[in-house]
Amino acid sequence: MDTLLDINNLSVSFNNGQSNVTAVKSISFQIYKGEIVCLVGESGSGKSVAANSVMRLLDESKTMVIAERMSFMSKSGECLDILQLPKDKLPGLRGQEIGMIFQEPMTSLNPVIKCGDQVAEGLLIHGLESTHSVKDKVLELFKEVGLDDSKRIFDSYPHQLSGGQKQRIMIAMAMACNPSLLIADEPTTALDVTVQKKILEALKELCRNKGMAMLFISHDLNIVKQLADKILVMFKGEIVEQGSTLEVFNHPKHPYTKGLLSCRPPLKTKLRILPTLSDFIGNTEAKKLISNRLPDNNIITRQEHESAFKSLSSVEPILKIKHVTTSFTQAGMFFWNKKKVFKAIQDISFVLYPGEVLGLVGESGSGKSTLGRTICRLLDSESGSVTYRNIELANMPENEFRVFRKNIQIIFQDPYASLNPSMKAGDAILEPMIVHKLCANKQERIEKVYSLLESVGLPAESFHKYPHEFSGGQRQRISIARALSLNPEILICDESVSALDVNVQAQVLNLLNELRSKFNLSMIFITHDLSVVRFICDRVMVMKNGRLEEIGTVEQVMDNPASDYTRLLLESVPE
Amino acid sequence: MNKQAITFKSMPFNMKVAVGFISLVLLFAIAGRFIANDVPIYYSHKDWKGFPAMNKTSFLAFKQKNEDVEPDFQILPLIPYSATSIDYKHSLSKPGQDVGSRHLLGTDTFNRDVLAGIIYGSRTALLIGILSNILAVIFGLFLGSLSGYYSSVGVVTGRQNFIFLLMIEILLGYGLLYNPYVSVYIYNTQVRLLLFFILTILSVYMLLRPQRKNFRLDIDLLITKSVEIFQSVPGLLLLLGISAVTGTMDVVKLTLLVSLLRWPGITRLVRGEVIKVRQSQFIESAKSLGVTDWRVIAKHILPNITRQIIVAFAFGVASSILLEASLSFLGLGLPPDQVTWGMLLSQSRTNPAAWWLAIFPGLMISLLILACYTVGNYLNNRTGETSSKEEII
Repeated sequence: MDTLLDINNLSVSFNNGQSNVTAVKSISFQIYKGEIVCLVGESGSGKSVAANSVMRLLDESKTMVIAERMSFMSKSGECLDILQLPKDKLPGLRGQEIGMIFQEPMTSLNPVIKCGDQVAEGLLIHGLESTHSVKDKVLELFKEVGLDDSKRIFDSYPHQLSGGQKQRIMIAMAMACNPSLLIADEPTTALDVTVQKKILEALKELCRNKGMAMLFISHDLNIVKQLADKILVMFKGEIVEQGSTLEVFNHPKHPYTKGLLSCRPPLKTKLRILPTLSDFIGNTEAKKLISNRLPDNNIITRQEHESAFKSLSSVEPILKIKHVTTSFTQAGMFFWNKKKVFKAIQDISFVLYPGEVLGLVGESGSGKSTLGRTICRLLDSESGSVTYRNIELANMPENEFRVFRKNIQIIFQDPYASLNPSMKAGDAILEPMIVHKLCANKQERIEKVYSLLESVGLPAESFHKYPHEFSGGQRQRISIARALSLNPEILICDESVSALDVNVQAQVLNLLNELRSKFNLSMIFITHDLSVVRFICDRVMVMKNGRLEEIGTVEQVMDNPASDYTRLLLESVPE
Repeated sequence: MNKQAITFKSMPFNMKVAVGFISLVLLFAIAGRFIANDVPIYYSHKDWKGFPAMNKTSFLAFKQKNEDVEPDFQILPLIPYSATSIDYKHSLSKPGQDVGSRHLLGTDTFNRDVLAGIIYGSRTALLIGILSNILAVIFGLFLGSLSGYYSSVGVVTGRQNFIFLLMIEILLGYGLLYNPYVSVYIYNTQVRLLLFFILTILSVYMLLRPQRKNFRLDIDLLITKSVEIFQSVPGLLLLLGISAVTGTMDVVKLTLLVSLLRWPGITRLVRGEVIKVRQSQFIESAKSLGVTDWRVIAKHILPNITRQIIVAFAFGVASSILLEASLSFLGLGLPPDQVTWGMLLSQSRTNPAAWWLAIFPGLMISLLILACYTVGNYLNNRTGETSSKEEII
């Protein structure tokens, strides 16, 4: 087979004025014609940087790209040296030879231009179509990427389409000029599982039909299993393992790959403790922080879990939700316009037992976050009742409710956005205690902060650090410590582990499991990831379009789903 | 976020020059009377001694007793004229015209030294520039953060609070500023203006305390509309009107009036920035922890917009200095016995031949404004730089 892209000893370093950061350390790989290569690694491993340097998309004044060889076989059979290519030849390389799909379909499209025109633009710039024939070509492209209603979509603006449709348009755009290499940078990360599955299938089919090669970048090993011919695993800027898909999955050589493969909670079995990378890579410090020795009998059987849940559910529920409806109103442009009402959740009822973890599953837009926010009164409900230990919370005035806030705590998804960047970690944990006047004096509060830092596995010197000095997982630990500082009884985790890398996700999940028994917490665990649900939850609730689809124990729902929608969700999870 | 301290060494050259010039003007403002004065800084003669530059009385008594006697020992200031000392021999003399006179930059129509005027005028310029902006920032931060924080939600407040606010704004506003009967009791206009500022802040603060009969007040609408009303009136016209009612100007009154023109802009800026920060998740997180609104604003929102406020302050100082100068130029500013740069400049209008009256004060005004802009730009760029750095890595 012919080599399409040949990269030998590529290094990329950033210079930010004061220091040099090397993001990619002398990596080498080849992509053959028509081959699907997947580049896998956690955030910060340099995988996107490597891909961007192939397109020469990096800011050249601030980065240094060195490579022994970085050549690309163009369509005309010419061998291009990408690094030496003059600036005026770059547009020819981008688009015509190499197409690119980005992660965020919501922001990669221009909101004021019709989708069809955006796709046509690339064709016109490269002079591949005339203005008369371009529309037919675009419609044809739309059909190829699986957009059925292509005429309507041609005339739609991006906000009128769903995330999956937008991503398909991005694919059509990247494919418009018939490139021989497609670079897809986490194209499905922002999408729901069911959509993700369809997009992956579409991508694979397109590559096979057109004989196009693809460099697919992902942080998740499992989703590339069906897709890839070859897998490259990146860790801290280096490629630690490369081989065919079967080889990597069946006989991983590098401990990092082994770790990545086992960090993800399994979908079919419930584990006591999740393995983390430190179990595979001998990092003594990390081992000390989270003493997670894997027990011999790590699998919780169905009988065991069901009997444990029975004892949990034998007592009076701590929280009762009855017929809760929450809606958003959108005012019109003029005051005489009628307000539009959108019901985000409708008529939801359930109970939460003390010490229980209730999973809340659904696709984006299903109202699961709205429900979480309604319970802790970040949103006001329209009707229905939220009863906490026989106290009705739903209609309580805000200043009276403030006392109860310490009993119901919420942890958010984005660890980067949920901490105040100008507040030290210690002060952030201290603040809720000051507000609620917990503990007798300042000294006691500070001592409590240190004990909390210890119980979430952070070193004591974290007290005086600012959030930007921590990694994503550490920040999420600070958020957890902050919520726990008020001794809450109910903890709502709103996609709290979704933004984290698999390894960090496993660590945080283990931590939450540990804290749950230590502090006797009841949790509502909002997530879109069913394997996480299997690991941490006792019961699970499936939501669709703001309505309750199904509720039951994890075993009931995930082994014998009653509704079709749950079955669809389960089938979409990549294995 | 870059926590690296701003040091003089790390600044670019133009910033060093700007800081140097501002320090020079600051030195003039603080120690002007020791640099330019018609009395010595220190003198001693037998039993007499003292610091006439700070307190003239003993020196005047000494002069009266011993006429035409120079003291035994005296330290004279660099420039032997104060801004108000009148040199009868030299009227409108060119710089370096008369040999023996020490008018380095010439004299003005009232026979006063221009250099001394520039040195004394820097105090007025800085005082009005900085003080008026401090006042405007306090006012703007308060109203802007309330407006931004409660925009689209409104604030639950008691009816009597709202009525109190209206009373303050209409009755007291009218009464304090225009009503002759009130001015009998509170004679001092500065006190009246300050009282109006303080009462407004107090009454808005009262709005945030719910009482028995509550309703949801769209405080954002209230504040943005008053900002719009203020900004729809031309600034100079407003000052003209108010100064016509309140009589002769002095530094404090002028400061208050200039800040009256500055607050709407700062309120707008703060409102926008607060709305931007308010959408961050850490605000929602703080709310879910039960942190009170006041604490959220003070501890979580304001520390994240300090950079923008500082930049706005630097630019604001520049525009306030310009405003003061143009007021003095139009003759609406301070009375002629108080030397300001704008007043020196305005004399060149009637004496077009006296180029030194136009060049030197004009240069000072332009250079100071340029320096303020340089500082503002520098601070602005530093914030921009750090955020783009974070994006790369």
